[in-house]
Amino acid sequence: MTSSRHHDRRQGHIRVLAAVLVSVLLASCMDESETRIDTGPTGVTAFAWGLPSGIPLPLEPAENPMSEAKFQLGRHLFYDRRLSGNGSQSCSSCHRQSLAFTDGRALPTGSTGQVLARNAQSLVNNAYNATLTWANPSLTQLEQQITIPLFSEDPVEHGITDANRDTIMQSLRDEPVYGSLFGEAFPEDRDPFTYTNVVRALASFVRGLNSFDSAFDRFQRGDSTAISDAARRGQQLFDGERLECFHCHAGYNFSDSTIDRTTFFIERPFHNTGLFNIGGTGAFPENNTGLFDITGIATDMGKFRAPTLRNIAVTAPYMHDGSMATLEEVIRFYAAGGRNITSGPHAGDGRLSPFKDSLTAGFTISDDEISDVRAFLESLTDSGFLTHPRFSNPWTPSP
Amino acid sequence: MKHSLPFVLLTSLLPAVAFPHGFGIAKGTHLDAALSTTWRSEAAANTAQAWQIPGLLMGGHALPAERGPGLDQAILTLTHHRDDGLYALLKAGSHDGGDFGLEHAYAGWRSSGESTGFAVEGGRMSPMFSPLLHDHPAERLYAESSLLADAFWGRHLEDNGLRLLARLPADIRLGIESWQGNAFPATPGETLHDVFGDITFATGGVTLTAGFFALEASAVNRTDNRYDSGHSHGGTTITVPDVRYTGDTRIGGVNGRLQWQLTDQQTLRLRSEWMQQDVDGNIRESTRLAHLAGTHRGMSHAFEFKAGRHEIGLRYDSLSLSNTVSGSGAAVLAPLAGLTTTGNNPQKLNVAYARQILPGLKTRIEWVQDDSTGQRHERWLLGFVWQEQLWMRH
Repeated sequence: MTSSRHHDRRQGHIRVLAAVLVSVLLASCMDESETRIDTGPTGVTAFAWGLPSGIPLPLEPAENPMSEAKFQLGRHLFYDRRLSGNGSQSCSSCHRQSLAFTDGRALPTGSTGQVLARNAQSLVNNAYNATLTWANPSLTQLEQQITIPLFSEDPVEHGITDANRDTIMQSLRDEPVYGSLFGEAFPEDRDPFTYTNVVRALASFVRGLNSFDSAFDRFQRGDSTAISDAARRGQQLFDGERLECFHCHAGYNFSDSTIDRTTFFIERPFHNTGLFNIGGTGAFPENNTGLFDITGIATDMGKFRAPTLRNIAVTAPYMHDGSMATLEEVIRFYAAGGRNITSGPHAGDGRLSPFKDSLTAGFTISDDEISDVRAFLESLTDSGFLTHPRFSNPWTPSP
Repeated sequence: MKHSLPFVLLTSLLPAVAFPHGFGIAKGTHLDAALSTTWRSEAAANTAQAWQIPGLLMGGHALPAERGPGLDQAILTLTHHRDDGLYALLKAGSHDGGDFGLEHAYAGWRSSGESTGFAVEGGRMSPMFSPLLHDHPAERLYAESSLLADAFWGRHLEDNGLRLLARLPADIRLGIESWQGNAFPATPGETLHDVFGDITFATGGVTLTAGFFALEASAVNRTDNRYDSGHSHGGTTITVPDVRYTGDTRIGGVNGRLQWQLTDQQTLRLRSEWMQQDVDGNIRESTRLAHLAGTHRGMSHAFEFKAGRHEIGLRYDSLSLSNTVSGSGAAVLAPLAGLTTTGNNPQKLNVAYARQILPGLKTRIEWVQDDSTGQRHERWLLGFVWQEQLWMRH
C-alpha cells in the first residue's frame, strides 16, 4: 500500500515535470521582433535626392517642387556670369564647389567691388536649414533668399537692376543651351524665360546640394576604419557636456537650426557666442549686429544661426565676419568662452557679454584634445561632394 | 499572443516563489550583509556607446556589465519585528558599482495569524509583483540580472509607496501596491500601480507556486536616464539621444516555481516567467513627434540542481519586441530612440556553477551568451558571494 502511494506520487511529479517541459517548448516560439515605421505621405518626391538611409527628405515648396530639369537649369545658371549686371560674377564666384561652396575669403566682394559685411556661407544641405543666411528668421525659403544676391542694391552682389534686367534676360535667351533647359524645366509656361523661373531653378539647384558621405558618415554606417582614433576621441569630446558643441551643432546636419519633412516642432534658434562686447554693453559692430538687425530686440544682439559643420574643414575663415582663420582658433575661442578685444573701436570682453549664450561658458581643453576635436571636424569633409560632377560647372569654357 | 495561451495555462500550474517582504521578516532584530563580486572576461556591450536592446525604450538601472573585476552588489539590511506585529526595515547598498546609499526604508504592521492574515507597509521599497524583482546577485545562482528585468523595469525598481498584503487560506497570497512613480517605467509626478498574487501547493518534497501580476504606469517626458550620473557638465561621457516618451505602460505576467527536494542533499528547481508589456504613447525630441504602439513579450526559464555544496544551473531569457512607430517623425525618431529592431529576438543564456567553500561564502563560475544587442557577446565570469547574519537579537 505504501509502495503504491509512493509510486503514485512519483507519477504525479513526472506529470508536473512533463508539463513544465512542454510549456517551455511552447513558449520558446515567440514572434520575431519587428518595428514598423509608418511615415504617411512624407516620402513622396519626384526628385532623386540620393540621400542615404536614415536621412529624412527635406521639404519642397508646393509652388516649386523639385525636378531634375529645374536642378540642371539651376546648375547652368549658378555657374553663369551673364547673370550679373556687368557680366563679371556668377553665384559660383563666391560659392566654389572645392571649398564646399564658400570663397575662402573673410568677406566676399560683389560684382561692383563692394565688400559685403558677412562671410560667404557654405551651400551644403541648404534644403535642411530652418532659416537662411546668417541671421534672418524671416528667410525660410531659398526662393526668397536668392532674390537678395541677384537684385540687392546695398550691398550690390550680382547687380541686376531695372536698368539691365531685360538685357541680361536677353543674353540668356540668346544662349542655345538655355532654350531646351528652360523649356524642360517649365513646360507649362508659354515663355519660361522669366526671373521667377531663374530664381526657382537656382533654388532647385542649391536645394539639391546634399552632402552626407563624409568619413564620419561611413564610420556611423559601420566602417570602423573610416576615421582615425583621434577623430573618435574628438567625437567623444564634441558630444560631451564639457565642450557642449553638440547642443548647437546637433543632429545629422550638425546644426540646431534644421528642418525636414519629419519636423513637427519648428525651431529657428540663433546664438550669441561672445565675439564682441563693445564697451561692455554687449554691442556688436554697427553694420553687423546679427538677429538684432531684423528684430530690433536688445537681447537679440549678436545672435547668429549655427551653421552646419559638414565640410567645415574646407570653409575657412570662420565666423559670420570671417575673423578666425583656423579651426584651432575657433576651438580656443570657445574654450575661452568668448573673445576679449583689448583695443580699437571694438574693444570689449566678449566673454562677459550680457547677451552671450549660456552654452558658450568656456571649458578647459589640452592641446592634444584640440587636435582630436580638429580631427573629428576634418572627418566631416565629404570629398566626393567637393568634386562631384553633378554639382560642378557645366560650361566649358565658362561663359 | 501566438503560443502564449498554452504557456500561460501550463505555467500557471507551476512554480513558487518566496516574497521576502511583509510576512518574510523574522521576529526580533537582525543585521545581515551580502556581497557579490565578479570578474568578467568581456564587457556586455561596446562601452563607448549606450547599451541598447534594439526595439525597446530603456531606462532605470539597466547598465551593461563591464570587463574586469566589478562589484555586483553590496548590501546591509537591518530589520526589526516586534511581537505586536510592527516591523521596519532599513537596507543600504550598492548595485553594479554604483554609489552606496539607502535603498529601502519602510515600516509596516502585520496581523498575528500564522497561516492567514494581512500586512500593510509603506516607505521606500521595491515592488513585489514579480519574483525577478528580488532576484539579486548575492541571492541567485547567476551574477547577472535577467534580460526581462533589464527590459521591462530597468533592472531595479525602488520607489516610495504603499503595499497591502493578504495571506488567505489554501496558501494564497495577494498584494496591491501603489507608487509615487519616481522610478522607470513611470516618471515623477505620475503613478505606478500593481497587483499580484500566488498560490502554493506542497506535497511530499515538492513545492509548486504559481503567480500572476499586472502593472500600470504612466510617464511624461521620460528620458533614458541610465547614464545621467555620468552625464555631468564636467567630463566626456556617453550621451544618450534626448528622446522623450509620454504615455502608458502596462505589463502583465505569470510566473511559477517548482522545487523538488529529491533527497536531503539534492534539490531540483525550475522557474518560469512570462510577461507582456504594452506601451502606447508619443515619442519626441526637440523638433519631431511620433506615436509609438508596442507589444513586448519576454520569457525567462531557469533549471537549477543543487547537490550538497554544489549548484549548477541554466537560465534562458528571450524577448519578442513588436513596435509600430507612426507619424512624420517616425523614420528619424525610431532609430534615434533605439526602436529599430535587427530582425532577431534579443536573448541571453547563462550557465552557472557555484560551490560553497565556507559557511556564508561561495565561489561562482559562469558563462554568458548575450544576444541582447543584435551582436553576440560571450563572456566568462568568476566571482565570490558572501552572505552573513552579522547580528541578531530576539
